[in-house]
Amino acid sequence: MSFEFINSILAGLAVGLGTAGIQAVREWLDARRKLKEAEETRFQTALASDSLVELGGYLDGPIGSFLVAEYVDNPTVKQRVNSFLARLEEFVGKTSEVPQEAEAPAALELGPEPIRRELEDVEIRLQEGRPWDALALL
Amino acid sequence: MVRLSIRDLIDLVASGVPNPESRLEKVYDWAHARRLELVKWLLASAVALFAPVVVALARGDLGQSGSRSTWWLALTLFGAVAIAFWGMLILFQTRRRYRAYLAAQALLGEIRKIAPFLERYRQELESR
Repeated sequence: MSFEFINSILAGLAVGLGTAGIQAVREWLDARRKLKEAEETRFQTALASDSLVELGGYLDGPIGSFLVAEYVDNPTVKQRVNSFLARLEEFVGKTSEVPQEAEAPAALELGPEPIRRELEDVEIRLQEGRPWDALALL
Repeated sequence: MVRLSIRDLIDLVASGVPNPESRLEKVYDWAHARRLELVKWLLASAVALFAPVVVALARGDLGQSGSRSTWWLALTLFGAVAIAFWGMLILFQTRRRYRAYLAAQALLGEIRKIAPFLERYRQELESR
């Protein structure tokens, strides 16, 4: 009687382990297939390329198809994605400098400052009892 | 389970939605809450299946070895263990999901840096 119970517990554990194992193997095979699609020669060609379409095509295709989970678990996937993103950052390096230059005029928002100074002058004249001067200044 | 691909992150950045990090956080928060709820239900089901077996053992209501009632109890025990194992597995996988969330946020930051490239690439594709 107790032998049947122990068998049940072991069978339950075996089914659970088996399911988890199958899932892990499937994920591993999936990552392997995607890595195969993103084959090394094509990866090197895309890395060396200066073509927008070629770089974008590789990003949208083999790189984009990797799951975030595969990126975490598989060091090869991680290295490939990181290298490619670094290459793209290098590609847009020049354009990323443009906003910094463009920001400079935005920092020169000195509009309210002279107005405030002028108003201070008006206030001083009003305090000195010279309302007409203050009005003229306005 | 969130099966988020790098293309999903690229699309999120390319769409130009404001604050994509918080949207990503919401997706993972929702998935995490749903997973915890599932774990609770699985463990509760396992306990519900296991309880009658314990009661039967305590009362000595078990039939002879090989009898129908014994097989039913064995089957119940098998189900309880399998379901509990499944629940625990999901629970232990939470750590892995947390790492995936951090990686997704880091990747999103990297992809945001290449947003001008994505914009130019999409324009190029549309102009063809």
